[in-house]
Amino acid sequence: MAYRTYLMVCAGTGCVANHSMKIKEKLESEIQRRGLQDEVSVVTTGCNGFCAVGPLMVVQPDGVFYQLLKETDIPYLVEEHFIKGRPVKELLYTPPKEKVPIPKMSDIPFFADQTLIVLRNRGLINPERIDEYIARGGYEALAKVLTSMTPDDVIREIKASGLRGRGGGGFPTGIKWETCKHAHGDKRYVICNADEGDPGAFMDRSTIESDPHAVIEGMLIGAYAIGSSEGYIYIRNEYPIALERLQVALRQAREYGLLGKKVFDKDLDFDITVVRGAGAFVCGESTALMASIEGKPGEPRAKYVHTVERGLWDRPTCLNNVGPGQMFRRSCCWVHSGLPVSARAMCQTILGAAAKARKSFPSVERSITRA
Amino acid sequence: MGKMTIDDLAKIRDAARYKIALRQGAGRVRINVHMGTCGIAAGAREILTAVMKEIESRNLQDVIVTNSGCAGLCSQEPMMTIEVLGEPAPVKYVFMTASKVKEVIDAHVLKGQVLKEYALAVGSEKTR
Repeated sequence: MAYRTYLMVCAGTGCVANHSMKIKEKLESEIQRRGLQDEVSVVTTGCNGFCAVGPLMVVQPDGVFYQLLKETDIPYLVEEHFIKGRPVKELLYTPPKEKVPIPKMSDIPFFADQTLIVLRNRGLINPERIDEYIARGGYEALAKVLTSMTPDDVIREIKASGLRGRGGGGFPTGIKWETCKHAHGDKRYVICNADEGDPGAFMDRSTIESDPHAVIEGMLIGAYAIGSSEGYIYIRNEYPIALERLQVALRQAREYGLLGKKVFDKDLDFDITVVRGAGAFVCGESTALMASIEGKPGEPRAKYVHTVERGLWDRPTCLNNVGPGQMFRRSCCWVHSGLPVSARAMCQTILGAAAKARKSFPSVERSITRA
Repeated sequence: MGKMTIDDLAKIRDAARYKIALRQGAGRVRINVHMGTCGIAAGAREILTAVMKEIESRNLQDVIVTNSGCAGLCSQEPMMTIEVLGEPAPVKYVFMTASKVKEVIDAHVLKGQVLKEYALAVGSEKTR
């Protein structure tokens, strides 16, 4: 029988550090003890962004948001909510300086005005299950690109979307791809820069932890557009959970033949290698990052020759950040539907005394750590 | 599973449609079984199981099931409320049994006809 209720337990780094995996185990054992194992399913998800109130959990389809959970709360919670149908008031979120708790996630101001684009799957799928990503339309953009578009069409599409880099420079992604595609060289590389060195920033981490396959799909589309067969993801070693999920995702994609030779039996051979960064801030810079992948000291060089022409091992290299990587796949769907926002979507991290975060950055996807 | 084809993508997506809808809290119909102490004592547990079985056997992809506490009318338990998107108000059904569940789902959920003989009233407190 299908489950009637899903308990979406947050397993982002913030919640895991606050023992959300213990909460998950306790939930499972308590559900078993109450004989609800065929009705209620526990799912671990990526970061929901509200790390300040972790460990947290969302009950679906009710949409009830529970926060600051402790193992000792679980038996009571299971009995009250899943047997008797009464949400537990003490575990609901109450906004600062207010007295009445808000039961539903969608009514909490932090979540209410977010439009999820890059993080559209966060909290909704188990990032370690490729089937759940596919269930949300995953790899369909790739299928569409491979079956109905030429590489030049893809580049035109990305250009038309207005998508720009997310590293600060805001370089138009379509132009970067086009330059790389036409640069001289026997081989081209696609690199995803997940070396997020800026203190306190963890957008890339959240993205990879929530939805690693979207990054892989984005890279595949990029590889097809520029004619590459080899990709690298350069990720900080300080992100153990993101790293592990990425490796799980890569393994699953290979098993399904989504990486490797003749993807979907079409003209695309591509595989991805993960390179772990040792935490040098400068390795987030493109030339230093490439030097590091080559095994040399991570030092930048002068860029009178651009990396799209001579990058990794002196070959044309297309380096994109995690955020846009996700969005290539969106762009391909969006230009047709006429949604111009694709160019501006961005995930942001807000931390510190962040009471006013909502006012400063309306309608962005965000994460808040404990202030 | 071996190498994926494009058709496989659609198959996986279709198979998981209900699961994803539940996780988004989205559905055309919401069936709420009242499970206060009174409801449970009167057999709400069997009603909940019956509802889930009906959904399963008819492969209804747009119906979500929730439970809630006592609605204050303990004498008429087990009780369930059906909310259909677009209908003006939820409908409460009282003195439910497994076979009544079947009839109600047939009439109200599938055909949009309120089964007046089992209904307490149209319109009551909102659950969402």
